[in-house]
Amino acid sequence: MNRLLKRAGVAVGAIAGLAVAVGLYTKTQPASLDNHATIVDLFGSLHTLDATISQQALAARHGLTPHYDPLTRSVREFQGNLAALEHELSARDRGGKELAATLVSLRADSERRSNAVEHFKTQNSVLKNSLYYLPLAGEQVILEIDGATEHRAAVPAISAAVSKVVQVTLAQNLLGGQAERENTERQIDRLRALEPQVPEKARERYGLLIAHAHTASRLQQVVDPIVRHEVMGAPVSKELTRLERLYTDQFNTALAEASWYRNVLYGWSMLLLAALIVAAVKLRSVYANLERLVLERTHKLNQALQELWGEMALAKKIQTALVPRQFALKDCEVAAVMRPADQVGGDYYDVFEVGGVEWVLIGDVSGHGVPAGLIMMMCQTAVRSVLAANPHIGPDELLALVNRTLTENIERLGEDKYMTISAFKREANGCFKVAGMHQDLLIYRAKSARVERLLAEGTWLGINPDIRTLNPVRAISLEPGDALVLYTDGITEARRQGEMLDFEGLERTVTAHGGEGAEAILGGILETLSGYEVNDDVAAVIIKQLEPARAASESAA
Amino acid sequence: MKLPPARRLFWLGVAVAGSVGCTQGSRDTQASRATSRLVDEPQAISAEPILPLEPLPADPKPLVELGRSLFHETALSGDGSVACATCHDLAKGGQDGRALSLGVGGKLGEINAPTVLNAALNIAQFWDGRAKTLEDQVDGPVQHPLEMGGDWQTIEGKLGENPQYRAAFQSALGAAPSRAGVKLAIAAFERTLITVDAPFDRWLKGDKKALSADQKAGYELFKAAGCVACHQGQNAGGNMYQRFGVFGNYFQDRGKITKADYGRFNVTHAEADRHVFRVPSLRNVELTAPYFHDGSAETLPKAVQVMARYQLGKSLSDDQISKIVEFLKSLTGRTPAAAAAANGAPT
Repeated sequence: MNRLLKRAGVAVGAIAGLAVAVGLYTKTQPASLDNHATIVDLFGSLHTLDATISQQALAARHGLTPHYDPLTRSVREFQGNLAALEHELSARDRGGKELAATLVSLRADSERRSNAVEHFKTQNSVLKNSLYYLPLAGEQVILEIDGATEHRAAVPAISAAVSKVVQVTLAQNLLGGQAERENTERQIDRLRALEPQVPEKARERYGLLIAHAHTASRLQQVVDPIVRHEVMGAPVSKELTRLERLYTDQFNTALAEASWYRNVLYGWSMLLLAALIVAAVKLRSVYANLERLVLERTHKLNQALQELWGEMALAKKIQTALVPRQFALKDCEVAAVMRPADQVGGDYYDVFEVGGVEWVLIGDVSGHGVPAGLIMMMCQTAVRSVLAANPHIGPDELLALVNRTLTENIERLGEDKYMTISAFKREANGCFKVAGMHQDLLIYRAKSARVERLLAEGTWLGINPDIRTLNPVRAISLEPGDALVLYTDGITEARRQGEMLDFEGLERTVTAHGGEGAEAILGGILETLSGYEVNDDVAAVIIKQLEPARAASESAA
Repeated sequence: MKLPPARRLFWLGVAVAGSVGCTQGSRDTQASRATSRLVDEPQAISAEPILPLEPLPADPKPLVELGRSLFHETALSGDGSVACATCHDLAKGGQDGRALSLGVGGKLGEINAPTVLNAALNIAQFWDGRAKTLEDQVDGPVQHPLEMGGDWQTIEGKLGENPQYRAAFQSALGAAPSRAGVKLAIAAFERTLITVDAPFDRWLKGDKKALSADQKAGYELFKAAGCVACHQGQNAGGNMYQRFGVFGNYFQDRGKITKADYGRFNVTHAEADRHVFRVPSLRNVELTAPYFHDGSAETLPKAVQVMARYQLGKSLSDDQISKIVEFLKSLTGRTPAAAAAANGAPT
């Protein structure tokens, strides 16, 4: 629980540390940095266009450009760029109230100036029409007056007045001063005064001349102030500069703030890095510890395994030690073999003499391995113990007594096992009394050189606690040369290409070698077996009945 | 040997720290991406007050083609009888030859239909300049009860039901038919209606044989008489406003003043703008009779005479007028091939 809490704490700490880093990172990205270059460009082009508009209005006023296309285009571009600037600036709404207010007044001023430019174009066109017409009209009036016959006396004065009005109107438009304006007005008044003396045929053009002179003079007073005050003098430039300064201030502030946050972020990153290094080092030591632990445990396991194997070897040793090496059976030649399938096997045989009675036993615990071996050893001990106490009891009695112990023990072990067994007791006359349910018995009869089969009868050990009445006792007598062949199912169930050796196979081998000695018969069986696959424990005991004399000489030897 | 998790974490940390340090560098690329909006290089100042027409930068073709279809689409009108092209006949100089146009149900309009040819070059749209752009202009006639009498909801519905329009809008704008899309497309089409290659433009560009002697004399008169004070620039007008009746009161003389006669006053409500109109372009003027916002001048000589009297304060002789008219005819350019009529839905 404590460890879980600690881990959760570390995880929360790591997430919080990263979250702070991300938060700091966003602070290092001020909105005002986006499209800063665009805004700077826009300011630049607006300043340029602002100057260009003044310049182009002036050029149009004084006839340097004969059309309004460039002026019109510049005004449109200025308005377009201003809208773009407004869009860029409003996209970040960090500009503050002052910047927003300046933008609003700049837009209003720019709108006013656009209207002034239109007003200028309208009035300037009319002014130009009159102004450019004036010299021509004057010339034509003078020609017409000269050609007239009436009012000849007034001709010089009228001609002079006409020339004068053209001259002063042009001068007024060029110089634009108060004196020039008054001069023009005086000359126009003078022309009007002279009108009654103008010859009839020149009267219409004379009137036009006065009208255009008047228009030129009046519109000079309209157009020039528009250019001077409303176009060139528009506060647009001033507002633009102010706006740019505000924007630059704000940008610098944002930049400073971002760079402060960046430094904090660097510091924080260093801290995180340090934490990471500490974590890495800690993890490393944890892993080193783990590796050492794994090595230690593996070593211990190996040791335990080796010990276990050692014990197994011991068990096998005990088992093989329990199997007799020498067979003291009167007038008989005995050969035997025991080959456990695993380290420890469940097959069992014994040949011994106790209290003057000779016993032969063979059996097999179901299954194999350690539990089977244990049960086999129990059985051997029980048999020896029972017979040590009562060497003269019948084989059925022996089995009943052993069975009681075995059944109890198997039950205690919780093993689901049983044991087949046959017990042979040798009577004084040399024949055997046999009881128990093991494999069928094979008896080689030397007289007929054939094998006799005695079917197994009785019951197994380890199932029923009381088997006293269940194992019938039969007698077997052996003539000299006869051989009793005892075996376990490891032999009959050996397989070759899926086919069992079976009883018949064993029978053939025994028939073939029956005339030979016990060792030879056993050798024949093992030779046959070598061609088969054996998956179970194997045990066999061969008892060859000898001539009593021969047996005597042999026993003497 | 496999990299232990501790070591992987360490390198991850190094990578994170590194990427934080790198953010400073990406700023420069952002700056270089910013659009440069520098002012055009100053053009060589032309000695002539009128400049040759040049085609405008092209819009995407699917948009222009959609605009052409919509321009000829009667579904934009309330009763399905009137298209833009009804009053702005591209074969008749971009207008209908009537003093006042006939709208849905044969209703008589209030004002002379101005030409759509070269309209893209105008300072603003309509006689009173109430629409600043071609796009904004579309709203006017479509919804005007005496013109097309349409409403956008119905139009969007009709176009949305038409699979060909749905496909055309999709390819041009990547969207379903909409009011905004219709306006964009029609404006894009109208920007292609620049009538280049007029004899006068060829003369301006150095082809001395492009004008007749009378036309050249007419041009000199056009300048000397003061016409050029307003009718100047690429579009020979269209780039400014002027009062109708500078010398003398045109409207009093004509009589029967209507609201349309107030001109720009209707937009700005400034007294100075009463009877002020956008100066019309003289491009293709021989094709666009009758003249003026009220369609009162049926012929060019009549229009020139009225202009000389009320705008210039002069009287011109018949000979002068006919020479000026000859010059004006040299302003007729080539109607672009793109303007060739299309009827109804896109194919």
